[in-house]
Amino acid sequence: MSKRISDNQAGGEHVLEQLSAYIDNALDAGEREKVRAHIETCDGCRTEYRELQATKQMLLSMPVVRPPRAFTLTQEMVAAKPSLWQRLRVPRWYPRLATGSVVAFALLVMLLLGDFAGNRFLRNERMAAPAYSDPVALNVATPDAASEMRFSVTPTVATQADAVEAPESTAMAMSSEVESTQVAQAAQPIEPATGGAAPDVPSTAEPAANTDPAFASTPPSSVNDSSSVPQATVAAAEPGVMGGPPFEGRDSNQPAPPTEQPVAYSPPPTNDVPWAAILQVSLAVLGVALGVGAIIARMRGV
Amino acid sequence: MEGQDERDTGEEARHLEAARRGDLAAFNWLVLRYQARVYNLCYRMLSDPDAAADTTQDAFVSAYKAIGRFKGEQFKTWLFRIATNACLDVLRSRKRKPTQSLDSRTAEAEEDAGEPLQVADLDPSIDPEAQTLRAEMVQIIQRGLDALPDDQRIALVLVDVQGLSYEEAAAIDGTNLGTVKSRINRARTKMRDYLRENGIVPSVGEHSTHK
Repeated sequence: MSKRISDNQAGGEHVLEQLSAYIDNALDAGEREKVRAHIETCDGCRTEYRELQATKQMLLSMPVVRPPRAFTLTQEMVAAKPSLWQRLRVPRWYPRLATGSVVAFALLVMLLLGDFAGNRFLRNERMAAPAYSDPVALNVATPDAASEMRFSVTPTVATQADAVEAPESTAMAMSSEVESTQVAQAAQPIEPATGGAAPDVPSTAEPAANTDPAFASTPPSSVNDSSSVPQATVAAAEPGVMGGPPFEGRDSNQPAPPTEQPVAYSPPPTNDVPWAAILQVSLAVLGVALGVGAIIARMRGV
Repeated sequence: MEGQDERDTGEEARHLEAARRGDLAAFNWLVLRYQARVYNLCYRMLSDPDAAADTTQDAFVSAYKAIGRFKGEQFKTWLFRIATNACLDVLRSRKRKPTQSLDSRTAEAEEDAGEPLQVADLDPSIDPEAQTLRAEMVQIIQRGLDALPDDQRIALVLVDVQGLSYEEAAAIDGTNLGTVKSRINRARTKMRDYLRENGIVPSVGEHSTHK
């Protein structure tokens, strides 16, 4: 606003803020009279009044733009479907979906890191003990351990159970690609699976066991703490040792759960349900779904 | 633009009732009656003919779907509120996607030598040069509208372009009279300043331009 009107020339205060209402006849009688009297004597306000009035006139005389077409509705326009797209176009979807996706992935990463840290810790302990001293015993694992190993495949699962029994099954059991590659490696070295190859071994043992119809549970008895670390038990699962379907053979040969040894390395499986793995997979799926939704919302004109 | 409302309001009421019962043809009668106003409202708000057309269509679709809930106020006010909110949604989403800036859009419009759509009030008695001048001025005014904050732009378009009263504007916008008054005053002042910056001095009685 121009600063020309600085001092109070005429009687009363300046009426700048009321000029528009005065122009539009939106003041009551008393206020209207006050403004009228003021602008008669105050040059600044009068000029302002004239200019605002002219501005309004210019706006009023803007040409009426002819619509390019008729906007009448057809039946298909008012069908239920379009409203979904319309709702997707509302701006606020995109930020919510994007945030949700990021949060889901962040939680997933934290869970995986927690798993990783836990596994590392356990692996160190396991490696100290003679994992494969009793292959047979190791092979027979409690059902819990097996199932846990199957689901809680965390990238850091490091078990000396390199005994990649079932290389084929490993790939399937793995929820992440990393594990499958690891599993493949683990399949080769059965004995020396202590260090490097260890990570995937547990997982491999797991899948092998699962694919085997007769075999209900897999050897990795040690697998239990959150990260399902199928340690030594897996290592033992060598075809040579068992002959025939590795796990089956073991099972029949070793009814007694040889969990004593493996147990030393890892905490006994707590329960059958691989909560950690389910949670991780759910978070991953949720994150991806929200991310895709966010991208779509963004594209829809948000 | 507003005179025809006072006539045939009875006819409008009948079509409105039928539309509320789901009669699409009756609703389309209302569409034809209001589409020019709604389109102009959207065009002045968004300054882009394509966006205005899309938003106008969306507004009418929303209105049809919501017509069951319409009651207790003027149809025009209710319809304009739907259209205004649709325009505000578009403006908000534009801010999130600055790839298509207002400047680039209005620049394109200028290259088309004037407003892209047929101007309804061209006076054949005015010589072409004066018409061109007028078209340029209209463009400057439209850019001035674009430069206003959303709430002031809505108020100015409703009152000064559409010719509605303060009460109607307040009802459409969901605010009170005092808010409308202050928004109008600020918007007009800003518009006046913008015009002066662009060489147009508004004065009553004539539009003087200093080039």
